[in-house]
Amino acid sequence: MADTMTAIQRVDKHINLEEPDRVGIAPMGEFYYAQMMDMTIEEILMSPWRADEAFEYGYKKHGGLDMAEVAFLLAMYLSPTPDIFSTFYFDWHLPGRERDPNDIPNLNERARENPLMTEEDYDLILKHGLHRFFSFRRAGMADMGLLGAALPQTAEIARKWWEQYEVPTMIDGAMNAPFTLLSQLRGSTNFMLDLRRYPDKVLEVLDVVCDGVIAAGLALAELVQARTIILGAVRGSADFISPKMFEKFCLPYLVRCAHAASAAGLRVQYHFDTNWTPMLEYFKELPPKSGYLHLDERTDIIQAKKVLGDHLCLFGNLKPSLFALGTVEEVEREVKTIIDGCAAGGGLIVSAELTADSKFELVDKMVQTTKTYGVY
Amino acid sequence: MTKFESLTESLVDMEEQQALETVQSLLDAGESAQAILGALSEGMNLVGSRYSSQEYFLADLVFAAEIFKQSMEILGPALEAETGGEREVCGKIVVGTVEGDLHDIGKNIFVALARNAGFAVNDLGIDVSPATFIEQVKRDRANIVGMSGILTMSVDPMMRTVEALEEAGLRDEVLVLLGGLPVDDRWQGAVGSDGYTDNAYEGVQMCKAFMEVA
Repeated sequence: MADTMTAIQRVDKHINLEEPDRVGIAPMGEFYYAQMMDMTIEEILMSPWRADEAFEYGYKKHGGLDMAEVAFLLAMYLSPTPDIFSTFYFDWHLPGRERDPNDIPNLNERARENPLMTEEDYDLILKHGLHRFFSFRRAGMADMGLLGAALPQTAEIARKWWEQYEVPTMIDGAMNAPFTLLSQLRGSTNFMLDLRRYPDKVLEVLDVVCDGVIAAGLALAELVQARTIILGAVRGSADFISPKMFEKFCLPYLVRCAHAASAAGLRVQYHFDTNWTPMLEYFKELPPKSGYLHLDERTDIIQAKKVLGDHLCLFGNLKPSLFALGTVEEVEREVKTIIDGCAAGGGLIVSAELTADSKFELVDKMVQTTKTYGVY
Repeated sequence: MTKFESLTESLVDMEEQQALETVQSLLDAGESAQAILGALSEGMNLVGSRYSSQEYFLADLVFAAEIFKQSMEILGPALEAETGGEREVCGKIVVGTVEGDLHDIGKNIFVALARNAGFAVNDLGIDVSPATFIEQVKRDRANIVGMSGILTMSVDPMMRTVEALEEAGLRDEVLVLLGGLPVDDRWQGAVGSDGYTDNAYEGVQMCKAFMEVA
């Protein structure tokens, strides 16, 4: 059956938890689209135009998708504000620089030894904020120039998708959950120890960092005229900490960020990789219908539907390895399982975080199964 | 409650200062370092069991391992004196994050837990080439090879490492384990490993089972 709605109308309906013509389909996969056109990862990372060319090719090869990836990579990796992807703050090894042009960006976190942030730095952050971690170690002034050129390009590409294709953008802005930002600076293992050794100090710093994160996220969104921001919180999941710790150290700041973005008129992609199943009840504190909850395969998405079906649209949660190592039969079966468990009443966009070695026929099976089996 | 039981309980309850003070006071009272180690090991077993039943989470496991590690620093000289420097090793593990991948959070936690459990662990770090794995397996006469990675692209260097083990005639002599949050039976099938886990504690249990350690 042919689609009877534009992608914008369809996604709006899902986010408002109403049934549109069919389930949404929006794979995430800049690197997958790059390999479809034999582009290097360096090329799509450093040029929004090339990245958009790759996505547009993939979009057409799959017969249309419900969200557009608008080449936001460069803005993330060269962000001058504290961002978990920023090369000005973190030890990211980028393709074409420290890595082969076809390698994906890789973070050298230093989770225990020689972390970027020491125990003493908690007090320094209280006095001076996070900007003291800004460094030209891996990126320089020329990158500032690249970023300056890329931001208006990203905005222009986003406009093309909204206006010409009538497809909403997946994300075109970012806000970091303070918990994850601090965890990455301090090193995840050190940070887990700090939560028990210095809980009051960590809370004090999270409070200060949260204000900065919100201000930086809103400013960047305004600069690129973003409509949807990504708000990620990987390190607060049950793969790292207990629900009790999440409630104390992560949730309050997540909720503050989400409400600030929502109040500014931004849609939010709650990007929650890893296992959040024990924390799903807490997500009722996020603003209702404020965006979509991206889950990967470690969270039980059918349980998420039961808990949050009348609160947030779900997005996910097929496993990346399925598209590199699986079969078309497995893809079809897993897509149908998600649709059977989560599509009723609307609020479902099927997705997976595709890797560069994903196979076209397997990705296409996900797309076409969703489009046919997911009709309401 | 005996002082040994109190030590076990302090570790399980994550009472860092109390646990370390108890270790020191037991030593000062002339108790055997091996008996103190036994109480600590009992605590780690209980923490591991609570982690398996999802009563505890990774942050708890990390904190308990940290208390254990600090306790071992206090106990070290006395333990060496009692055992003549020959602490029993239950197996030799060579572990690393594979070539092209720099993620090491889970791998580091596995290393800490495996050492606590009595394994001799040679941690090769991150971005480890197949050749480096093979060289170290030969040098250490390792029983177990642990390859960690969280990028799907890490499947390829894992496969090449297993192929290199085969070419070197070492494949049948070692247990090959994969570790990382996304690893699954598809990864295992592609790589040809003997097992996989997304859980550092479970990884150590697999190593213990292989070495037939209780």
